[in-house]
Amino acid sequence: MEKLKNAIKSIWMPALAILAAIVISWIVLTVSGYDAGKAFGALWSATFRNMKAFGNTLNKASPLLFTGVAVAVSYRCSVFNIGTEGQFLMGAIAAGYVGIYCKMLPGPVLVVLMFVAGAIGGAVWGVIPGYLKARHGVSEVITTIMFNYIALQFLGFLVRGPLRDTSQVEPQSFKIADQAYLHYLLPDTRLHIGFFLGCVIAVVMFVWLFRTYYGYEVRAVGYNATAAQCGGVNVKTTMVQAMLISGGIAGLGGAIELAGNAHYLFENMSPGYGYTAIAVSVLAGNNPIGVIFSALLFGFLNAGSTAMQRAADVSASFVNIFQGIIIIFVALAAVSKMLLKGKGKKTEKAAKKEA
Amino acid sequence: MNVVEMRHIYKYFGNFCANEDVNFSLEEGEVHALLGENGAGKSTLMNILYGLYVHNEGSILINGEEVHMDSPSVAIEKGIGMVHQHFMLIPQLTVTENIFLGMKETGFVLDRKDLQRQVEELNNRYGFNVKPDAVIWQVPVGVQQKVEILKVLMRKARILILDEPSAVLTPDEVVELFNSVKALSREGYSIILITHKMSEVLNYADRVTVMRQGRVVDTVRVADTDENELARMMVGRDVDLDRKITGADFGKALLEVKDLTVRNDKGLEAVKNVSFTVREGEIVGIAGVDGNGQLELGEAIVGLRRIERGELKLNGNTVTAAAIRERLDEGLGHIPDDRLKKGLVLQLPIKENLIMGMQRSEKYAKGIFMRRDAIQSHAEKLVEEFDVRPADIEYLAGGLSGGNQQKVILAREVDREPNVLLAIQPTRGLDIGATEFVRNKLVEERSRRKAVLLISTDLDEIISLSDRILIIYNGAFMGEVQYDTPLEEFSLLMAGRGSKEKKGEAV
Repeated sequence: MEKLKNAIKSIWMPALAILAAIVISWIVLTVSGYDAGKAFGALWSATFRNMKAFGNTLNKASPLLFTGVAVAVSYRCSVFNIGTEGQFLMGAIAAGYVGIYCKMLPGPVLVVLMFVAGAIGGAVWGVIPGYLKARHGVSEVITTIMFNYIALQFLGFLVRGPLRDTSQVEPQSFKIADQAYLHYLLPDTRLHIGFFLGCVIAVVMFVWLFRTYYGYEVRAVGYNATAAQCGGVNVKTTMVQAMLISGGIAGLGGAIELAGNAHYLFENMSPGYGYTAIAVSVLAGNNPIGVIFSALLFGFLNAGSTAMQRAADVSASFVNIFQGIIIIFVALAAVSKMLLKGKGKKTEKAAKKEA
Repeated sequence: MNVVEMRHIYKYFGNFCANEDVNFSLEEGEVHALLGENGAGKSTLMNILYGLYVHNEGSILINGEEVHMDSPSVAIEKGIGMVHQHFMLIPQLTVTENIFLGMKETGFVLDRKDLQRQVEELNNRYGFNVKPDAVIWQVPVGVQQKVEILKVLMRKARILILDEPSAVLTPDEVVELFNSVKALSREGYSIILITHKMSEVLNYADRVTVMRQGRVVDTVRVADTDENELARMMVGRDVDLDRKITGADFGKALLEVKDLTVRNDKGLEAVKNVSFTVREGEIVGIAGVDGNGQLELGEAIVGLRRIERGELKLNGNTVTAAAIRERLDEGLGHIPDDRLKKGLVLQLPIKENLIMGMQRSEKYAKGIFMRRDAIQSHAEKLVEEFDVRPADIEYLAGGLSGGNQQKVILAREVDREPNVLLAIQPTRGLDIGATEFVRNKLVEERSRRKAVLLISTDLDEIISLSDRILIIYNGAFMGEVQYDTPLEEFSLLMAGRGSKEKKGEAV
């Protein structure tokens, strides 16, 4: 009963934000002379039209799920990893090398090897900023953003240089080995295992954060590093660990996107999955399980953006506005909660409980 | 005449009654203290008077006329001003700018000269000694508080509510503040002083209303009462802060500090070649004026600060360069000086705070997984034993009152059965009931054969608890004294003017 109450408590905020966003978007669309009903109808049917569409939405949610969980883990430790974008790409690159050059390996082995390579690639890309922060106090916000650019330019170099498939007009890498393609789970869909693997990772990270002493230490460091230090926690190691895990998850996401969807490397592999992930994680209150749902929501919106354009002539970018409104409301709710807490420290609830 | 009369005030928060049938009156020109422990309902009552809360029942009369007090603007209009515990100033603006901020009387274009002159005028009248053109962030806290008071005066308030005004001030600033308060009351201002410090009441107030658990216990003239009576009214029973240390049966040395040198944040030597030991069944007190190396010494022992030179032994083992984890395992308990920063993770519930430092022990973890049942029952036991309120182990530590936060820390550290308990300023900011509780627990640890090192700037505390007292000045010991040493000698040593020869090597 208590648990149910808590679950409802943590859900009402994002739910309210989404509802408010729908209402406002509806008004904006109507006022601007569009057929809001038609637009939202198209948005809805883009996912729920049939199994194929639904699978497509799950696929679109998959990279966001990985990067979202990655962000959630680091934020719980108060390490603001803005770099899941770069970690995602480095994961894809590492997996790409394996997929392109280890053609002799049988499918399952190759896929697992690609995943491992991806996770390591992302982890390395995460652990360097983590180490710099812990050891030398360099702001991780700056370094991770810088590392995003380095990763992106590195990818650009690879697909124009050493890995370029010259038979293609656009710069892109060779395809990975055929046997490394992830299988489609349902007939007539392109649904691959990525989203479900992401759910497993999310649950594992939830358990790790809230049921193990590692997670306890991560959360303690995130809230109050000095108090954690007094409790014998090695704050620096904990931060580096959080970045290692965060980067690893993002990198794994990159590897899965490559093996399941893209099949070759190209510069626009990630339309900002790592940046959207911040919004995804914030909407979920940095709770890995919650990230599953917010990644689904963002996948749903992305899947429907072009459909909205076709059906109601609403620009596809409108979905970005819609996402923006949701985030504003979540932020608003978070801020007002914070203000209430600060003010209400000694007020109603506290006074009541103190007695 | 009564400028304020609050009659039969009731205030409910949900089912909880924060103020129950409260009667309160303020005479013109008096300093009226509102005394009570944390959570007694003082602030609630004053927030009602200032219009921040609306009472459920009862009436408020200002200058004999009933007022419907439903917002601070009504209160301000009626000449009531409140100085909050946390200042509401803009650090980048000057004193004058802060004082006139939000006042419509200044007109659209500010005449700086004229405004500064007005500030000067008030300044001179009450001896506030505040520079009108000083920028807020550059002036000390004591001055910032005066600016808050000036703000209220400039808005023509005749009734001043001061909410725990001395909480953030140094002793000198406190004296200065209360001199100004007395000056104001002589000018006919009526002042309500919210506090839980009895010395302030006895020294500066004319009358005192004591509150306990939302009710008024009594209102008395300060001249007709004394410390013991007030304490009894506040806590509801006799309070005994007298010395309870008896017998002396010391065992082997558990904490040994030898030629310890530690640097402060600026890289200067804050602790210089200090040596001492604490034995089984002994409380050693380190007294001194704040800022003489106590903080650095404590941090060095805990492991938060690097030891430059010298040796530190816990339980006979050298831990000079050991990680905090190892020191904890060696049996070090730590009640930090700053409970919010070092002692608790405010965003975590009580039960999770109660295992901090023991999260990896087999008692609370199986493999890497936490034993939730063990953590639960551990928390339930300690909350009961230490009377933490609310007795809800899921409650976030940040929502607790200071006294209850300290109880959580104390419970955790004592329950770990440390050999050495390091207590730094363990009762700072606590009300009298909680202070008594904490001190008794320290004495209890002594009788359980633990070695207790007490570092405190509260001389009464040191005197009532210590077997031996070391006085620290400028990073070195001025000498060792006994609890019955005359106070004059304490002051001399604490001011660094001791006659003691053995600097830094008391044993």
